Amino acid sequence: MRTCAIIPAFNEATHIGAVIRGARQYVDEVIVVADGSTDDTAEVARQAGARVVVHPENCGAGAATMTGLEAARALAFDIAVTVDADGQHATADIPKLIAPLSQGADLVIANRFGGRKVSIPRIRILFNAIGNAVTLLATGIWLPDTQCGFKAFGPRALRQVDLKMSGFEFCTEIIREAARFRWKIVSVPSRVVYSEYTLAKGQSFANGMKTAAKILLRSFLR
Amino acid sequence: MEFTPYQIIVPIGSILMVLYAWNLVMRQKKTIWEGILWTLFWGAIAYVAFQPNSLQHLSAITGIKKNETAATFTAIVILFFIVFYMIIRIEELGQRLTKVVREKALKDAGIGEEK
Repeated sequence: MRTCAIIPAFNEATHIGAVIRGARQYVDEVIVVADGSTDDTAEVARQAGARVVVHPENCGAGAATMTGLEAARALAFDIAVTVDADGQHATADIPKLIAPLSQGADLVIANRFGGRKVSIPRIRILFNAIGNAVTLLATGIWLPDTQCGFKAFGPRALRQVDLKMSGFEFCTEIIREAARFRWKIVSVPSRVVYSEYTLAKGQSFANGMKTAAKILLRSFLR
Repeated sequence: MEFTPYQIIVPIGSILMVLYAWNLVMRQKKTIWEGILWTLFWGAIAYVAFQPNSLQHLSAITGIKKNETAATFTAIVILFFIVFYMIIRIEELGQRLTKVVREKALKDAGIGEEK
């Protein structure tokens, strides 16, 4: 089965090269979506061997991910793995993430909290718990790590997924898509690297709360 | 037992809304969970219409006893939903723009539009 990695990226010129080189070992092609980046993200990604799609404006992580998924569909890939561009995900875990797809899973989500002991900042643990609770209320599905960007889409999920939300809400929207189309979801433990850089790239608490309120109200009023 | 027109119309309207919600679930536009939430919401409205005295329990819980306070509270809730709907509409416009940007990006990258 043909597999690609999708890396949505916004101003990640300093880290994206290493992420692409890491992912290329395990997939047929790497697709980078440079989401209105004002630095050399697109150029660095091309030099590292990725196919680059450039958003002329910054549209958000959800929009960039959906562009990558559409590119994967148009290029006739069977499996798509989404990876964050900041280097927090262990690309060596891609085979582990893909494996359940051959056993009937439609969507595999990495669990950053289920692997080997790593020092995860408490604020991240709190954010994740809130994200999981909001996702449970909005979709009725409980997962240990709903907000992780390291995911593998099987053929059915890749064919059906249609994300509308542009921002960070897309993680919960993917779980909603799973509920809507009744995909089989599997959670796989994966290592995560938290550095000052990756932490600075995360959402603020206020933004997280706003996102949570929007998801809950939308899911009810939809 | 005699029913007022209100006690007949509101539960019928609620049943129609619940049927509409489950129709959306069947067409995979809503999830089962969202269908359940809608059923509970409209079920509660139908129940209150059918049993108006049940609001006395709500009054005991919330402490809202005066009609004026209840009206003010209701107005704030309605305004909140109006503002929320406006935000949603603005976001939908944003989503349309985003779709145009995404399609252009794929075209520029030499990746054909998905059919």
